[in-house]
Amino acid sequence: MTAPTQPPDEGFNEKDQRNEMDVAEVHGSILREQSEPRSGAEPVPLWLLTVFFSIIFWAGLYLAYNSGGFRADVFDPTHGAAAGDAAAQAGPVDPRVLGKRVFTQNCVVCHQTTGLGIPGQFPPLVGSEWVLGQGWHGDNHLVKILLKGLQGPVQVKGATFNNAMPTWSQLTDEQIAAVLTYIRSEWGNAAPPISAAYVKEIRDKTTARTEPWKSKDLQDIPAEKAPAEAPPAPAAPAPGASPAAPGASPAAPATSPSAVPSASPAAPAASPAVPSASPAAPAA
Amino acid sequence: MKPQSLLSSINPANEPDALASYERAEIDASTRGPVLLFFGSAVFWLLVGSVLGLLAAWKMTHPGLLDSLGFLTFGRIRPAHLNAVIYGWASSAGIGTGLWLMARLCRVPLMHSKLLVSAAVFWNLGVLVGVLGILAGDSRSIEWLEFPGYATPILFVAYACIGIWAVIMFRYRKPGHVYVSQWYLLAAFLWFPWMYATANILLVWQPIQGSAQGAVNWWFAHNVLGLWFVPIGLASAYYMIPKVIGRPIHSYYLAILGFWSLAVFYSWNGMHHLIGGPIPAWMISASVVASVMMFIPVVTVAINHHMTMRGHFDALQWSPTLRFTVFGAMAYTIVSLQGISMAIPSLNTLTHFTDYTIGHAHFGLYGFFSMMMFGAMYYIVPRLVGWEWPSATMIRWHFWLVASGVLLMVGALTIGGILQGLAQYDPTVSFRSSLDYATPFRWLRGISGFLLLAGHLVFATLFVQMLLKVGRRKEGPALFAAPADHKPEAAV
Repeated sequence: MTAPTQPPDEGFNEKDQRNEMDVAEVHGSILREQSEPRSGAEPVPLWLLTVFFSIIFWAGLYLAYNSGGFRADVFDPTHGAAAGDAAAQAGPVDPRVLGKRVFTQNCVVCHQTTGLGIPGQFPPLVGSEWVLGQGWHGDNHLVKILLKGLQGPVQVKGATFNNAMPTWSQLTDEQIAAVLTYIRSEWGNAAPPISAAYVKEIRDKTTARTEPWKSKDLQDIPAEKAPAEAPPAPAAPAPGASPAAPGASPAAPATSPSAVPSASPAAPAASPAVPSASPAAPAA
Repeated sequence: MKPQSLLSSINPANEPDALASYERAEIDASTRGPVLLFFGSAVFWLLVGSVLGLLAAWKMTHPGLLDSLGFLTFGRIRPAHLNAVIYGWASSAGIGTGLWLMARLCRVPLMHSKLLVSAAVFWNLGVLVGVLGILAGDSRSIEWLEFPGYATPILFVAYACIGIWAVIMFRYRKPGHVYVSQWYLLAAFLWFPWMYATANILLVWQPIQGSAQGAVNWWFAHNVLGLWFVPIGLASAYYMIPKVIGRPIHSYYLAILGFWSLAVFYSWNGMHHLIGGPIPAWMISASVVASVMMFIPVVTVAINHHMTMRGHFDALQWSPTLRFTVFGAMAYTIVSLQGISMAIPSLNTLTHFTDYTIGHAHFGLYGFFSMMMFGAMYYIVPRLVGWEWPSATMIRWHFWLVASGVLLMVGALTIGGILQGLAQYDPTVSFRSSLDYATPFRWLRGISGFLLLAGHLVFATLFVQMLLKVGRRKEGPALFAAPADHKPEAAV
């Protein structure tokens, strides 16, 4: 024993003390038990070591591809990794998938999963001129209905409905754009998608209105086509000079009196070419 | 019974093993007070934790149950259940087992055992104050550290006495081989205060900022399992299996590999709870890798235990200790492999926010650790009180109630969790609707809670009978069945 002799050892090292112990006090369970366990000396099997080293090899590979360069400010494991094109996998959310979810949660009660509505009560979406932007109906009307609701008699596919559609302004621009894109491309409908930037533009223009639209009010507003989703253009010095702006903004203020008062402060931010997150860009 | 020589039939003290027996008797006498106190309080907290858990389980299917009582709302009894079970039951049982194993394997009697008795009293005081504090609404809302600030120092002071004493025992060990269980115990007694102090300092006393709190929190919470309960549980298995069947453990080298790979890799594992979360990507990837590396300690220990048991599995028919311990060892292998799979990001996205994780946690802490502790108690308590377990039938009831209870719970939560996760993948199903898929399985989980509580009541009854030495003195051990004569396993 390397440690200096200590008092606790004396307790049972001295034979006479041990003999003082009455044997009857040593309980049967202690008497009958096996000696304290020992270790055998079987070697580690070779196949097991092979498996372990394979795992260690895999671990090195995994770290190399998913470490994000061991940087404190990288949160995406595949960022800057050896697999350069891996970043492309994490694309934006498919608006039709998101749209189906929003539709299932909010719209099916009236318009039904088939999009056919209930005759006499809730108008259909399938082949509806309101949805597809045919006749006097424009994409701007469709977005406005979702933002403010719709009340009073309406004509859809030759039938008259008189009911109330609630406002869905609590949904985000992205959700409204997604659900509109979904209903315009489902059940045989084939109208182009609506972008979140366009929804934001309409929302910003109509902040003043508080009550639901009526069919007659909408008819007074000229129809617009939603612009196709364009890649973000370089920040334009002025909204009027932007090549994308004339398609949407000049048309609205010129003929729509309700939109004029709010148009001038909102126009730079509402340009469909500018991503919604950069309202500060034109000011710079 | 062992064949007796002429000498030993005249005086039992002349038997060759008698010297070792005297030594053991003296060691057991020195550990009696603190170990029985830890075990007794563990059984008490097991009952408290079971009732709280059962109530929390039924509140998942009946949200209005007892909702007029503020201190029994789900947000309070769920952390109260968790902490009562972690610190009250599992840690107390683990400390009791750890102290006894340490004394036995170091072959030194416990010095100043009264100090440990007072440490046990303080530990229980800390748990009591903590659980009542949570029920009173003082929870800190940090997972696994919900105990309010006024309970933590009590626990820490109590633990300091316990841990220091275990390490001192190791310092005074008799010369000779240091057995596997001693490595695990020494490590666990040193790891726990390190983790507990670090987590309390970084999360409570001087909280660090931002999402790093989440990282520290899961580092702690996962390590309590892997660097506190796992080493104590494995120390118990490494002791009980060879002790009961009377043959050496299969391989010293596998044991070394298993111990050091656990020590090196486990501490990195906790971040896999934050996959997809706002912490640097490399931390999560390193944790995923370390979690997969757990394959090494788990498979190593599984092989070592299995090869030791090989040819002796019939002892499961009669030895209660072995049956509980082997159940725990098998559960350890399965639950660890399951945990590895859950750390792989593509599978984690399926299971993360579902009941699957809860099933996994219970499989680990109950199927593995609690069963291991039952097995250890069935071995240790008769040696401390000098009395045999009064009824093998009741032990059998205990085993089958808790074994079927935990398997039903884990099975139900696993299946329900997978269905819930698949529903969450479906973009047309809202989160609220995805819960409906888990509801029927939550009913089954509630039923499994009754099985577990019944099993615990049986065990508590047995334990109290042991303390009071109820009934007539029995000579032989309480076995499920008569062992084969030629088998050394009769000597449990």
